[in-house]
Amino acid sequence: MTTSWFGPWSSGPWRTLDDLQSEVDRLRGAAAPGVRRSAGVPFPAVNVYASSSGYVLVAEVPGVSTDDLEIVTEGHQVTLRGERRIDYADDVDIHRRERRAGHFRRSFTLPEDADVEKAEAAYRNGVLTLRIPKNEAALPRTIAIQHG
Amino acid sequence: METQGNETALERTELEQTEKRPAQREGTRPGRLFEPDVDIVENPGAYLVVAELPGVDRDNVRVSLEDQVLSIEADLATAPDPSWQPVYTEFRQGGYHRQFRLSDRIDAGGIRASMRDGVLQLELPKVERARPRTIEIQGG
Repeated sequence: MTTSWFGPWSSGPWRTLDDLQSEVDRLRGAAAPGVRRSAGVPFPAVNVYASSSGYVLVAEVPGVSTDDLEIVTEGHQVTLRGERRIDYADDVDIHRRERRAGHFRRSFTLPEDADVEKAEAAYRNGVLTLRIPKNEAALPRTIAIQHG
Repeated sequence: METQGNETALERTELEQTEKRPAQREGTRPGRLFEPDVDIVENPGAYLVVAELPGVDRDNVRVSLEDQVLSIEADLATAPDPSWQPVYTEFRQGGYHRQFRLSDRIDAGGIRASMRDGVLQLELPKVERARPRTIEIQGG
């Protein structure tokens, strides 16, 4: 179950992420019938990018307030956890229910050169962006040649 | 969800059945379009349409009603940095487009929209229906 999301990368160079990413809990709640953009994708859906200075983890968490969202780091692991609440009054008739509600928890382990302790998070328009710089030692540098 | 009888005032206009639901686009802007996940609920006074539009702010969403077709269209407020190399991808990014057909029970002029944390909420008030009345039969 865990590896299925990693299909395209499972044998690629990104072995660290591949091996270590885990979804501890799938979002609890009834899956709506029908076909949606999010079909087959865990909540929250996450993309990871490599930038020149480090890594960027982008999670789509629409409708989740920052009060209900927690980011915990441990070692090279980053965990997103929280709850999405979708409450409708008791007297409503539900005609279509595609949005998913409930608790979520997802963990990602970043490569060794990621300085997770210096990660910075921003939340805007339902998108969480976590920037994780590389360790100073991992960044390219020029070595000056001493005159002999 | 299939409509039952004539009680369901909202009926989805089926535009696309494919898994990744790229939506048809009538506009001229370039880029991919996706169908947002939507909840539709009905209370005694109104229908509520709630659409997930992560990455969209209120200035980039357009809601229109034409010929009883409600259209939701949105662009991402910020595009991903092109210098970022994707190393793991669960979602694709692009604009959003989805349409629903409204019945004549909606008060189109009273539609209200709000946007928060990437979620659009539309309130579609029902038209006051004519009360049932008894028609007297004139004696002959």
